[in-house]
Amino acid sequence: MNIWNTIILGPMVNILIWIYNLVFHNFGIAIVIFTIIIRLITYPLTAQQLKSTKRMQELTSSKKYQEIQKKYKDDREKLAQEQMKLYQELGINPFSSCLPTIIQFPIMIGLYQAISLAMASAPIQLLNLSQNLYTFIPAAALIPLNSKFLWMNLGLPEIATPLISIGTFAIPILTILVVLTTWLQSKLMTPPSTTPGDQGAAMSNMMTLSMPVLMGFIAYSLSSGLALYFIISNILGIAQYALMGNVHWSNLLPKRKVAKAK
Amino acid sequence: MLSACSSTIYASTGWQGLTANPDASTAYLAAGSQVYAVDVNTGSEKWRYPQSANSRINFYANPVLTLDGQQLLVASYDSYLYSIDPSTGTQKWSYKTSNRLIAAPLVTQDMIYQPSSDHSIYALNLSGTLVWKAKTGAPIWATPTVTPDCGCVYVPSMDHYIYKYNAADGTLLVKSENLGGAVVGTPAIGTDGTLYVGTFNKEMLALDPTNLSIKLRYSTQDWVWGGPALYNDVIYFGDLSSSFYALKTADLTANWRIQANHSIVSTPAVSGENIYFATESDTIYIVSTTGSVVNQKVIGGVVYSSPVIAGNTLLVAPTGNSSPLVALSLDGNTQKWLFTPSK
Repeated sequence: MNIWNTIILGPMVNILIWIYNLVFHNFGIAIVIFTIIIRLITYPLTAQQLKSTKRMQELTSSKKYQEIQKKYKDDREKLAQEQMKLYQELGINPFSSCLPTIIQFPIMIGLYQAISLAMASAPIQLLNLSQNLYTFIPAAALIPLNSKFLWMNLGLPEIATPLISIGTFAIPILTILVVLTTWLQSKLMTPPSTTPGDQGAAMSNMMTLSMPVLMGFIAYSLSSGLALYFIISNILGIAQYALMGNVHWSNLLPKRKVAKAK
Repeated sequence: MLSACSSTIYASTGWQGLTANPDASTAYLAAGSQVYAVDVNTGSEKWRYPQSANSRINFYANPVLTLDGQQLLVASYDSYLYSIDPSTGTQKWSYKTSNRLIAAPLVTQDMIYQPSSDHSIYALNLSGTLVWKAKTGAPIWATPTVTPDCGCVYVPSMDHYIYKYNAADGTLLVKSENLGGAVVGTPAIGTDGTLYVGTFNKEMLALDPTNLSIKLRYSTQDWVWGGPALYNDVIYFGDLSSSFYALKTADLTANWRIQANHSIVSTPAVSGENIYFATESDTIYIVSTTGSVVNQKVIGGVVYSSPVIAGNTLLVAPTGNSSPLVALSLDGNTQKWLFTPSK
């Protein structure tokens, strides 16, 4: 068993199956509860990320920062040096907002693997699962896990067991929900730009459009259990940010066109 | 992004399936996304199906020849059962079930019984037309079995039960008592009709054929995956803890037990006084019926499928090896040939 399995995958898959055993052998509910637990565990990271982002945002809209930008706009090296000096003066680590995201990345990968492994829809997966189960899991009684949830088989892509089909075309309801909730989450969490021509804001806008497409593609292609995780995680993310008072509802309103000066 | 960063834990790649025709002239190998007919004497390829690799197709099941030798049946992970002409490799027909096929079909004189991950057993005639279909409570990953005179078919399901159906019309005759764990190996049937079946509940069970109640139990070290092989009133099988057992069918007591080097997933093969089994690592063991290891041979790759004895050749199909078929002498000392498919 490698380190990844020991530290990340093993605990995750066992907790997931342990929850499954507690909640009426319903894997869909187990995924929902598991996602809530993961969100709670990673709450300090999310709060830290939010705090750092806020400080960076305050800094970038400060007068001093704007002046440096203007003054050294043609000298990138000098601009970077001055920015770094400013960070040091104010005690801000510009990478501290990235670190929590980087730490959450393996959790996301591990979750994906844990769901796929627990569903064990093929013999190699089931053999792998057998090697990763802890002794307190009553595996013999539980396996195979019940993968049915609502209209889905959580171990298969949603289109394998569609709820609604038009002719031969299966409507991917989960994929649509993943795209919508991912877009909504990005939209609501992005602070409105205060600086005209802000490159960061342009990049955020691009991410707001491309991330839902990417997540939708993953949700469409892989198991519906994973799509369920994405949807719950997105909804919880929005709720978490709302509770912390950092949801920008105004981003959902149509922007007013600025009248051109004559 | 996720796919790129993840390992193959959830990959749905299959493993090699293998069989040989009765006159031991041709081996049929289901490997990756193609089926190959290989000359047992020379190791040369006779044909392949389909001609070009099809990424939709993947195999876990052994190919099976019909009793008249006119069809080679291959169950695929793409939910289809394919019937192929064994002499030319051309497709005769295909039948689609509604989920992945993991186990090989059971073939009788006039019927094909194909288990599916959709929880159902499909009974087809030899032309590939559905005769009846019956549903169990979970995916079926084990090949069903029959006894010659019961007019029934035994279907082990992952729902912890074995079902006994009327072979002709699919009427449910008996459902076993709860076996305590999933069954993914084909039961062996004793001379008196007793079924010997291993479960994920770390047990080998003897079941009464009339009512499928548990007559005898033997506790194993770990899950029993592959079905047992029966020879001279002794059943031989392995478990995922690497233990290999020989139990008397009369009372399910152990004649002997040996420890191999890795999990044992497949059913052993028996020839003469030797038992052949593969471990999940890369080794084939040759053990005498008295429990002494005659030989152990490192093959390479990972061996999930059962070894096949074709005349005086031992065939092993390792997964993840550049040569998916290896031919050895029966004593395991001489490698006769390696089959490496051309690109």
